[in-house]
Amino acid sequence: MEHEKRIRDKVLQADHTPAIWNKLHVWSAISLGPQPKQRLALYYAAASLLLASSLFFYSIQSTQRAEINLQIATIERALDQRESQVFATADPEAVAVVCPDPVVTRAEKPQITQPVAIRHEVNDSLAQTIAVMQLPPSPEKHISEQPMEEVPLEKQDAPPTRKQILPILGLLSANGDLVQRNRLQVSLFGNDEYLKTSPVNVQATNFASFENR
Amino acid sequence: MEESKLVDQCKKGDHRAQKELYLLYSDRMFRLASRYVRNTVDAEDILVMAFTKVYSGIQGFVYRDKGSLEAWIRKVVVNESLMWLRRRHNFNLTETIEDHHFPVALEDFSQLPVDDILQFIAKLPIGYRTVFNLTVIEGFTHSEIAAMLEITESTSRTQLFKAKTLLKQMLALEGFHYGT
Repeated sequence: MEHEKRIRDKVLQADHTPAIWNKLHVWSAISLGPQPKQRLALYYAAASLLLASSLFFYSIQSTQRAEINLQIATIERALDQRESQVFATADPEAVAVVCPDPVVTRAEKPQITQPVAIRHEVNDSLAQTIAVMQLPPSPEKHISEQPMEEVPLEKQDAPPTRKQILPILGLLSANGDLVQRNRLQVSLFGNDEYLKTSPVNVQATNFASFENR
Repeated sequence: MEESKLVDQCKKGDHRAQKELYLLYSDRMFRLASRYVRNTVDAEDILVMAFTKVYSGIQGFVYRDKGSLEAWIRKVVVNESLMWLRRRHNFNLTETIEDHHFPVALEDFSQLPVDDILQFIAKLPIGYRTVFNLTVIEGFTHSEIAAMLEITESTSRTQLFKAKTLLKQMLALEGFHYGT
């Protein structure tokens, strides 16, 4: 501690010796008083300008939106009036649209469940149109009862014949013909034989002639 | 002019008395501020702010004895220096060495000329230098320093311990060694 006291005394004694610095300049700064920082004033000015401009644009936008809403409301009102007049003058039977009842028939082939049918009915007052969703009659799975083909004994003993396999990849069956699938294809340079839609000449591939290498 | 009359005139807003007060204490206060900041221009900025506060706050100052005015102005300058440092440096000093502060004697350091002492203090890192100045030169306690710098007392002790250790190392590196 005594060393620290010695250091303190030395330093405090040295404080009394005159120093070289801008004493008068500092005094003039003190006598003028604390100057407001110009940079802070610039920030305030920029912030107030930004706020004013945003308020101005907001007010313009709100008035424009109010005008547009007013125009839309008048148009909608006119359309409603016209629609009510049309419904009031129209013949109810001419306007009514009734879906026919579904006819249940026995299918020859298995069928996929039909999609939901929507029946529209117009009530007597014709004031409203009510969409009634009606499910089709409960789908029945039609299992084709094809009679088992009886193979004669002669054919059973015969060696199996190999059927010719036809290339069907990328083709669709339409009326018995194989048709190439319609796709959106872009050919940049003219004629491309493969882009033509059907009919396609199908040639049977004789797999029996391939050699197993 | 006597100090008490000088204070009274300054309380009345006498510009001449204010200038006399400034000329009387500005050199000491400049040296005081220079121990906390290394740059002369920064010390001058601190003095501008400090004396402005002295003139505005002298209404609440009560003159008691001869050294009371200087002590009050010193306190204002120290506070302004610390505020200046806090604005520019992070005083979030959390480095502590728990209860292992063996005393570091500054015997060799205290025997140096005052200019060398000030130069060595100026070479310390800012945290060490601030705590060393506040403790050894100004005589503040660690609890007061902790409140001023918003750090814990143990952190303040650690900073002082490291400052002293570093001063001894710097002294040894510079070739100063007395007594052997």
